Amino acid sequence: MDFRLLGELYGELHDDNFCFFYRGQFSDHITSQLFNISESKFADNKSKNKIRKKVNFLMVECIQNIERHGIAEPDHDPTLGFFSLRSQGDHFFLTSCNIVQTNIIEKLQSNLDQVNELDPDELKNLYKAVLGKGELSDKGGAGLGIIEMARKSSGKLDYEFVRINESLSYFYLQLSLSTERELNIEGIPLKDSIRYHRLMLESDVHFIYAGLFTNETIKPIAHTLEQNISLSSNKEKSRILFHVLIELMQNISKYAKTSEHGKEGIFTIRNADHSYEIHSANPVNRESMDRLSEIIDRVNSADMDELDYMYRSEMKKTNTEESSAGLGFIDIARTTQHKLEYMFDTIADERTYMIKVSV
Amino acid sequence: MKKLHIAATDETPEVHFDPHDGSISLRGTSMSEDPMGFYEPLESWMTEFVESAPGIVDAEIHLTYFNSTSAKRIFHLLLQLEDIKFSGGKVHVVWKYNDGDELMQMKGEEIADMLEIPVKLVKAE
Repeated sequence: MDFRLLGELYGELHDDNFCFFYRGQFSDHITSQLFNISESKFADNKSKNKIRKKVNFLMVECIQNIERHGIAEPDHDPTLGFFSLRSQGDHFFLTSCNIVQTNIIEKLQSNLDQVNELDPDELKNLYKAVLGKGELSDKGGAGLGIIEMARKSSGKLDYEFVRINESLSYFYLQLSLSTERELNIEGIPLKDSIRYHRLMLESDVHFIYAGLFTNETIKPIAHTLEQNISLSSNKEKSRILFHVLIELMQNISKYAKTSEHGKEGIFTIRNADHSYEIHSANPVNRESMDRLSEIIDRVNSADMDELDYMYRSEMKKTNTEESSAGLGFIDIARTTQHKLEYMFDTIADERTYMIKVSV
Repeated sequence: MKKLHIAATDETPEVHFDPHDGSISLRGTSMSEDPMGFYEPLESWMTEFVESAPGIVDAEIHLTYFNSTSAKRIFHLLLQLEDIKFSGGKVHVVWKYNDGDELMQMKGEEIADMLEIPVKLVKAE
């Protein structure tokens, strides 16, 4: 991940109402936090209750599918998977990916094709029949899962297998949902999600989020990533990371230029050698641009003693609002002991501020 | 003066300020994006409390996380306690942190260093 790639991603994703992409382990805790991110998007809109329930239901089915059917190979953690949720207009797109053994592809494919052939009534009947007999799959109800996904989503189940080696393949499954009663949604092709997954694999990115940054969204994102990191790394690092995540995301929700929807931006996290890199980007106005450059340059030119002095004098100031962004950057620089990298660029016709922090 | 008790939320700590026995405590998380709304009433309460010139004050801060804007508010709240010492009262601050939480320990050490009242750092069991 670098600023060029971040800019490209933001250019592609900024039109989504919101989207997130997660690659990594799926523990119960992570699943519930991903759930909270999605929930936070419906928090202010009761009329969307019905679609909210469907999105939640399908999310659980997708993630359970990854957990249950990902296979254990020495190099492939069975719970390592990929999940993305994108919202565009009235539509939602959910994509999951897990690794399967090549020898089950044929059977899986025929199940999916069979389900895709059926109309809603036939699906209902098949559901009842399988519930009684437990056919279609011999591994804990994949059959039922697939039928339920087909019943609750709009249109066909979109799927693809991408070969890893002779015995293993990635199994991608994409579901669409709409608040309108549309059957065939023109939307995001599955190959886009595959491309994002590949990009995340290649650059070791664990998480991408683009959309509005509100308090309700920030908390579950930070908790998801804290949990993901603490599963694989030391506890102290995950605490510092959590802190930096909160500070950076709260900076977006405070200082990004307000669009017609609110404060928007993009945020990614990648695993580098023994460290983590956080990138974020958001539109800014002219005044913020000058102020940000001034603060960050000042922080970057200070050594640890000077940062310590700056921190203490900011803390002692009695003003309440003005200096708080400065305090945040000083604090990030002190706790991470890294320089803050930043740049400005024009993305989707907006003056955009990008920052990278290593932890 | 009345007691001040506020229950904890996801992003604000539990507050227990008792003017009668002089016990002051903050417990939990403080990560609100705009903590002024939360801390302003606390600071007003504290101003009145300090003016009443209490004899002995025991403060306990046990936080699992706070963001940088909260740090400033917490520091200013504790800073108010210095006036009690200057008017002849006794103030003890205990800063608790969870075992292994170096971030909260470090923050406690920093704040202790910036205050002119004794702050005891204690690892929570």
